[in-house]
Amino acid sequence: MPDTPEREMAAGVPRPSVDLSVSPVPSPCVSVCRMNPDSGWCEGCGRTIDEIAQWSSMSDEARRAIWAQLAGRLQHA
Amino acid sequence: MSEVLLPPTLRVFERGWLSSNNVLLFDDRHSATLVDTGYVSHGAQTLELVRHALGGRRLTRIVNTHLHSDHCGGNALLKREFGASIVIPPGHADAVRTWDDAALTFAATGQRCDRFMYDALISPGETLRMGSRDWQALSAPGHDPNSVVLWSAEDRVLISADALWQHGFGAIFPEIEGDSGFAEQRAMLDLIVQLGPQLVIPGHGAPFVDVMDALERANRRLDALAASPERNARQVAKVLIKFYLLEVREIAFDALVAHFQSARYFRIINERYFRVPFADFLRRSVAELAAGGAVELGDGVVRNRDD
Repeated sequence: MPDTPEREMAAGVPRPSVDLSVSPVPSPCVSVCRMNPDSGWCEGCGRTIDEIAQWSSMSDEARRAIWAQLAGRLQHA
Repeated sequence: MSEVLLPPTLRVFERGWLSSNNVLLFDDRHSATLVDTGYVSHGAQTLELVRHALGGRRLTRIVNTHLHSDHCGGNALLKREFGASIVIPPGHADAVRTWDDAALTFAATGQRCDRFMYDALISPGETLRMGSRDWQALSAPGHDPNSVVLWSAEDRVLISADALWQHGFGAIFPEIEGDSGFAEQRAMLDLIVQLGPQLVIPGHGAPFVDVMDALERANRRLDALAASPERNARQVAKVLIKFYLLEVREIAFDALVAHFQSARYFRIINERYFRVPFADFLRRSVAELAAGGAVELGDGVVRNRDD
């Protein structure tokens, strides 16, 4: 990868990519990290506590399955 | 990318960049240890994550790789909730005891951390038993002179803190104060080559097994930074602004200037490298962040961009 200024920034503060074809599938976390007590979903990424806790131990398929639900959850949150 | 399998007695909570990864190790059926506790504003979720994963065990111990706010921000809360003891590397022990703002990095970086007190020290060379494995603490200066990384020779797993990520490493803070950091970081990368880990659990980002690729990238990146200390200083400023934007999400540019005016690292960077009016220094840094897509600037307000 070229070490462009953009690349340099990404190395200093990597940002979540939405490219779900890569492995490991990127984390949806956007550093809000606050649970909504009513929905049980994180207000930033829409995941449940179990999904956040298990993320690093999950298969890429399981991660993609969670990603597929997040947009809908955040819309209704 | 090869499949990553974590040891069964260990869990990693990977979040974004405001909170470091938290590594929970099951010591036995009754107790567990947490390595690093994330940023203070995420404390409630960190507590919930730990509770969820403990499975009836008690958190008896917190170990910090180093005392940056994204690694020890949950210390006070978790100690209060679980009665866990806190183990830190010795370099900042005196500063923690008196909560010495001048020696700790929180005020200098414009970040926050709840005051806590440590209970024990882990010195480089010493071993901690965690998750049914021996972990040796290894000195890891470069990013932070007092940092350690944790090495399990049995599993060949390295908890690398901010000494090595899959794409880079933590900013080299000592250099902006005129102290050596590039040489220490190089020695650190060489040491990791010698150790030959089969799995690295970094301080940020997903655990990874393509360690040699990561080391190659890190060495190239270090070459570039060491060739231009100004570039390193510029990068430190941008990282700290982005970090703050992750916390506050958006802020008026004038308020951003006021916030960082009291942060010692910002004053040092401007005085050493740029020598322009402070607001101009901030404006240029924000513009570079905006050009890279990390933030947006409009109507005098700087907003975080999640990408």
